Amino acid sequence: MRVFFTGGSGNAGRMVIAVLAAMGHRVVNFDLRPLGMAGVPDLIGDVTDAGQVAAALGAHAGVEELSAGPPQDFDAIVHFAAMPRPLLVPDVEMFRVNAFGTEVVLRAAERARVGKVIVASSESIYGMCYADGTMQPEQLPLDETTALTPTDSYGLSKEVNEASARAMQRRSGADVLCLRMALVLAPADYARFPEDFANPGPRRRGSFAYIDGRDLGHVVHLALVAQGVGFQILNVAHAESCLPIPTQDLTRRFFDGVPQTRALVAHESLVCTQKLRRMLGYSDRHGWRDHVSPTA
Amino acid sequence: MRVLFTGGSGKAGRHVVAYLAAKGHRVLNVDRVPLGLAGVHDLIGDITDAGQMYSAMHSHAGFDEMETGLGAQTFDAVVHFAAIPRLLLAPDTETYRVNVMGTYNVIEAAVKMGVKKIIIASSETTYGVCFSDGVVDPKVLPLEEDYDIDPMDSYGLSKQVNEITARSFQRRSGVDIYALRIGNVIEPHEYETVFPPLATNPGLRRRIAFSYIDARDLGQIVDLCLGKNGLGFQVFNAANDTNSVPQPNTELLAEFFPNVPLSRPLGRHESLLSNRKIREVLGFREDHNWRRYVADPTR
Repeated sequence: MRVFFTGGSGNAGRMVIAVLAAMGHRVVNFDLRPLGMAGVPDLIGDVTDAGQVAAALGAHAGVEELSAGPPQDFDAIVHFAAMPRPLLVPDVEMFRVNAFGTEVVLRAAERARVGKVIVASSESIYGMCYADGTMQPEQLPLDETTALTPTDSYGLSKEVNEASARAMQRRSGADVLCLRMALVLAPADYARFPEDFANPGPRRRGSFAYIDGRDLGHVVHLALVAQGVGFQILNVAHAESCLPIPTQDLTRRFFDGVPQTRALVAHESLVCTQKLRRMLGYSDRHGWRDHVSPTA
Repeated sequence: MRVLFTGGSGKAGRHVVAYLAAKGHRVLNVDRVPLGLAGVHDLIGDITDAGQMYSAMHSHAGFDEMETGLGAQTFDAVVHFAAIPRLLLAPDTETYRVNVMGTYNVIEAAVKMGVKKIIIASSETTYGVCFSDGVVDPKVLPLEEDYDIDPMDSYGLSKQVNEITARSFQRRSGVDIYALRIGNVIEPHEYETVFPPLATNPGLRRRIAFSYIDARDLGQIVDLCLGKNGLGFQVFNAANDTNSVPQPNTELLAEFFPNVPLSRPLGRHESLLSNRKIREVLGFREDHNWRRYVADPTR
């Protein structure tokens, strides 16, 4: 498929684009900075500028296409461009880039009649990740029906993005999938996992969940090829937590008193991904156990 | 109370500001154009510029306040009406940008500067019928505040997003933030032109569920919100007691909403944009039913 990818130079985007390109998709990367990956044209642009996004969607996907005639339509937009967490820039700017940038991309996608849109949401939407102090979730595991209670402007911006996406889907009838991603990791990140085994507390904010960036790429591929799904919200995480500690031990220690909507078994992740696996046929290929020993 | 009011020069804001001033509130109007109302200072400002909003939140409300020598004071309350007021005035992305970023900036600045009461203008368009493509049925009637709102247009979406923003800031700060889903605002001079044609053509008002809110009664609602503390985050429909058309609900529902389920029995002329919550929670009593100003042709 011809894929217009925003934010492909970021930590998550670069891993996803590598998978998509390897799967045979034709990807254009629209970002403030170049990715510099062979076979993936970079187009430098700003998602908060509606004119730039509209123009980019009507352009050739790289100079090598100039000889092939007029620009072809994009089959899909994958929108990852965002301020990736709070405290990088003032909140007002982070909210502007994330909330307005996403609305701009969705509007441009609608005008260009793009039939498939994938939006990067975040598990921080559930509120725990960037809360002041310690927030207890409404229930565990966190599934797509759990109440959203972000008190920070980053989680808020992602909740707002999902509202924009839902409205765009109603207007256009396109397939629109919001991916609530857990912490995205590159292979090199696993080396520090053993530090968490002895001291898991800092991982509580992320619900002890994670997703390998290569597996995230596979999720995006599956979302691209899924047909007729309408508006969908999907949690994206590895099936297991980031720790060699049984999940019930973790909940007793860190989430005492939080109701559980079903029995959590073995090392099952607190971010429920049953919908992702059922709807897209996803299964994990990469996890921390491939890289570090649980007894390290 | 000392009230910072954004958008007080607009169609709704000018009447609400006048009502609040008459009730004894000290109002500073922050708008791109001046209101020019005696006793209300105008501060020219742009809500999409966060720096201006931070600065305005901690400000004198007029030159007379300089005489106190106490310095600029934080406001007791912020009433935020400034917005692009409907669809198709600006490109959709601009409508979204001004309304969403502006509201974010106003709420963040107010919360961080210590304001304890914030009232924002939401809209009945959040129910998703008003500016939708084609003829859209509501999921249920009457329209009440617990409805699963899902507007598809840039204006209704911007107001939905503003409610989400308000709820998040309320949760983090604990201050009171009330969002008013304001119906179609009728100014005093509009009764004689807007209402008579509705006797024979009520369908003109199907998209707004036949509702309206008198601009002065909206002032009463805002004043009641200013006086009601401790409710946290709240959404209130702001509508008058009855529909804006003379036909009874039995006729309106049969003609315009034959397939829409009712969640409860309706009064003969009861507004389909329900104002039950503001009556029960805030004690709202309308002063300006349209029948005071236009003859009801069915009577």
